[in-house]
Amino acid sequence: MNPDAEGGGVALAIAMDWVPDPLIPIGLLVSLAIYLRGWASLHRQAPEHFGTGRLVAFAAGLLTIGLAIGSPLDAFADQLLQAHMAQHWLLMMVAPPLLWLGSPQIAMLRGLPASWRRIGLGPFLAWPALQRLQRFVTHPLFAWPAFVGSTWIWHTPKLYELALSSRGWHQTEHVFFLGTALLFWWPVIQPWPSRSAWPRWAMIPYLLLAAVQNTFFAALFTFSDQVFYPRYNAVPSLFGNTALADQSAAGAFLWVASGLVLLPTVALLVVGLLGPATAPPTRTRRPRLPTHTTFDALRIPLLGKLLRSGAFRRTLQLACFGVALAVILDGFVGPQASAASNLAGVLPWTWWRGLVVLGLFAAGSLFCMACPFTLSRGIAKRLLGAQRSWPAALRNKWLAAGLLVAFFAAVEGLGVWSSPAATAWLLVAYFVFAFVLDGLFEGAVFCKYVCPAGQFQFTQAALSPLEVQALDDGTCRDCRTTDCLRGNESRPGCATDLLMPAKRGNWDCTLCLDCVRACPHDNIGLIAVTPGRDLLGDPPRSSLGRLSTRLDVAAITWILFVAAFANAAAMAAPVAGFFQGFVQPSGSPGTSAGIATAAALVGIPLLGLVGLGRASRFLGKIRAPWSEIAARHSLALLPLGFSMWLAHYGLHLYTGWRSAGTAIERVALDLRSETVAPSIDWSMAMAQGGTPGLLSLEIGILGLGLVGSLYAHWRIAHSLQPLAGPAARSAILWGTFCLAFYCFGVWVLAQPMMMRGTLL
Amino acid sequence: MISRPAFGGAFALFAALLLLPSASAADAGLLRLSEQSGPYRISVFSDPTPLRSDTASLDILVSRRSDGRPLRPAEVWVMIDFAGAAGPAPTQRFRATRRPGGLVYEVTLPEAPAGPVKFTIEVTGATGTATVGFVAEVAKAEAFWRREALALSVPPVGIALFALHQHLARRMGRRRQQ
Repeated sequence: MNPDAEGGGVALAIAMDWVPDPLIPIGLLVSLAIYLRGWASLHRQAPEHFGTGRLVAFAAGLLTIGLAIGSPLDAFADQLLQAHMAQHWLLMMVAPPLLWLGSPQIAMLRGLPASWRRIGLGPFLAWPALQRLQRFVTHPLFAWPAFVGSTWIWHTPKLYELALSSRGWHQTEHVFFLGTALLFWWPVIQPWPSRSAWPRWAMIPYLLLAAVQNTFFAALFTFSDQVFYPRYNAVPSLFGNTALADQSAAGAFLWVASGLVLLPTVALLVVGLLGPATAPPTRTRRPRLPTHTTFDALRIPLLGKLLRSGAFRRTLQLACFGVALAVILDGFVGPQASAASNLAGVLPWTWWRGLVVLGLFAAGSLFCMACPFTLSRGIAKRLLGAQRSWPAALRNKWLAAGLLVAFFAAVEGLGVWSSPAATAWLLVAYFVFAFVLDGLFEGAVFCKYVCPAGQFQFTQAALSPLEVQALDDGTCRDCRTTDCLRGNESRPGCATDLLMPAKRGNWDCTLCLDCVRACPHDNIGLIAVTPGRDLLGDPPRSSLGRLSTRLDVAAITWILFVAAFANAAAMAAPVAGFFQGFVQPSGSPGTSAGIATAAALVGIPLLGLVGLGRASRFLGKIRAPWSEIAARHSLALLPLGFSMWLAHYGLHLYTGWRSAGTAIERVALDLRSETVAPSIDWSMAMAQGGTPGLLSLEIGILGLGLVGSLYAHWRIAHSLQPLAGPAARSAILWGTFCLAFYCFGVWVLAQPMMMRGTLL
Repeated sequence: MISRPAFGGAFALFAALLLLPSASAADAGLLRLSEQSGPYRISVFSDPTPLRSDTASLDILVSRRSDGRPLRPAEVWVMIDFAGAAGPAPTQRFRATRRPGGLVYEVTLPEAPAGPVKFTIEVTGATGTATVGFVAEVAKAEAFWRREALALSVPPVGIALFALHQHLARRMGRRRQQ
């Protein structure tokens, strides 16, 4: 091993090939979003306490954490003690005071939805034991020793080497550092509106003592003539430093950098104490909660105007229509052998599916809003008359349920995903059916009763954070024209027959916003709701009635729940290998996979609805019919099912998003009639794996889905049966079923995957 | 004295922030060796640390000895000698490929038995061929449940918090009645 490695190229390689962990930016952005929501409300109400400075400080604190653990600095920590110490310094000396300066405890609480605050956090906030614990751990007599002890103990050679050699212990070390540093800085910063247990002047010796121990600590590193951590002796040094020189530099850095934080803080405290005295408030004034803050996406400047505009929706539809046309053309005339080089193999199966679930998660049925299949609805109605009524026997979701089963069975059985031509035919069929049905019949019958993709959107949008709703019920009660439903001379009404005051949730809502444009009172908004709230109650809904009486809706929910797992399982190597064993002389492995998928999508929902419905009626001693019980509980499966869709399709998009570039490049070369092979980087069409934490993120998402489903089952069971014991038995029955699917889902996610839409 | 809402917010903040460092798994690997050999300087990174038999990968940076610039294109092969452990064929040969847009060549190693493993890296470029090598200890594969403990803990933690919530809510209700 050569100790005098020239660091430049190696350091550049470390920096360039460092792979970020997706959990870190996600966690930071979620924290910032919650804070920002609360800060905006408090800033309006109490600007003297929540100025821009607090927001800047908090954001800077989060950014510092991101820099410490979510930047290449983390990668250098294995090679250089200096980098590792810089990381610890950022986590212990910079991020915590900045975070507390943002007074996050009030702002983040305010940033949560009111119901979460009241119902979810309320009992915890009022828990005396937790309040006592909080007072104890933030007391200077606990916080100071915890901070100093954590610093010294974790830097003993044995524990430090343990952290370097084990990711789990390294993470534990960081948790300790950040946690104890937050405690240490709490009494110093005293985030508003807290009050310190000690007088203000006591913070001066508190900080000076910390500075003194820091001097001893840093001096040990700076002046020692032996390397404390053998690991740094074993790795080739960067920038020509020996391990001992690196250690000395790390000590010097800590000495100076920590001093630069601690001593100016002491100076500021002294200045504050010597300045003009201000009368201490006799009682901390708490900001009052705003009466009612409704987030309405249609009130956002520019975006709101765009969303309200019919031209904007048509532009979106036209853009999607253009993409669909390109996919169809390439599907028919492009290469068939490798789906990863064809637009029809990449855009629908990697991009569209991923974007649909992300759109549902972030907002709602965005794809329905931009749907290209309904672009020609107006022309179709003019051409074909649209005078017929949809047959009464088909005014339900059974046809759509059958089509969903057929679609998923075809995807697996016929390998539609791997055949560009089949994908193109599927899209053509969509366009033809949408045109003919919308042209022959009144309203949007294709969306409401036929479209499998639409049913996917409607059901999963029950978990979306936005909902089209009336802003003021009183205005709707006084309304005599019901333009939102019927439309008027200039604007169409709701094509799926939803009357605004009675509309609940996102069922059957295509997010076309025709109702918004038609309402003469400007009383409809796209408002923020608690995701999943719609699953818990059973109110009468416009055009749908009570969902407890709709076994067809329950069947669709079940089919999509089972399909979430079946679709992911079909990608898993052991499952694919299992079906390979069923190859018939005249058939393909796909045939048996298709039959198995269809059987699962029909059999499990049937058994589940009847079996679990009857069993929970018996266990829960519920008087309601089993069908109502099953229909109510079916909705509670949505969180777990959606989490599987999100993990599965999110993985495809994350690992295969580059493949679109390859397919587009190939099409461009085809159009110029140039030779393809030599000039395209085919490695882009391969699934990009190797991201640390990706599997953990998928399992975590699935776990959150399970928790959501269990909660929903619990609430529904208690709404059906007021007696705690029987209700719990009923909930446990459904919970066990969900747990079984969760375990199966974890197993599926942990398997090697066939990455559809890529070369792997 | 700290107000109740202050504590609640702190609780939420702690929960959110303490999870962040736990998620810190980003890594460019451990620099195992950086040597001059023939016309090149070859630097080898390994991940994870320590190498585990189920998830081991090597990243190799090849730069020209003359000016230190990364060498592209190059043919990079990794020979793995499992001589120290019983198991698969004693020596296996793998071609390392360059990550799109990256500087290094990477290779994911097959499941290897735990024990000492000798790695030999052979580089062929326009100006010649060079070989370097090192021996590393490969640790046993980490059990799945242990590797994914944090993610797997989401449901039990959620259920435990909900059970505690229900208990506290009932207690609050009883106190109000009293």
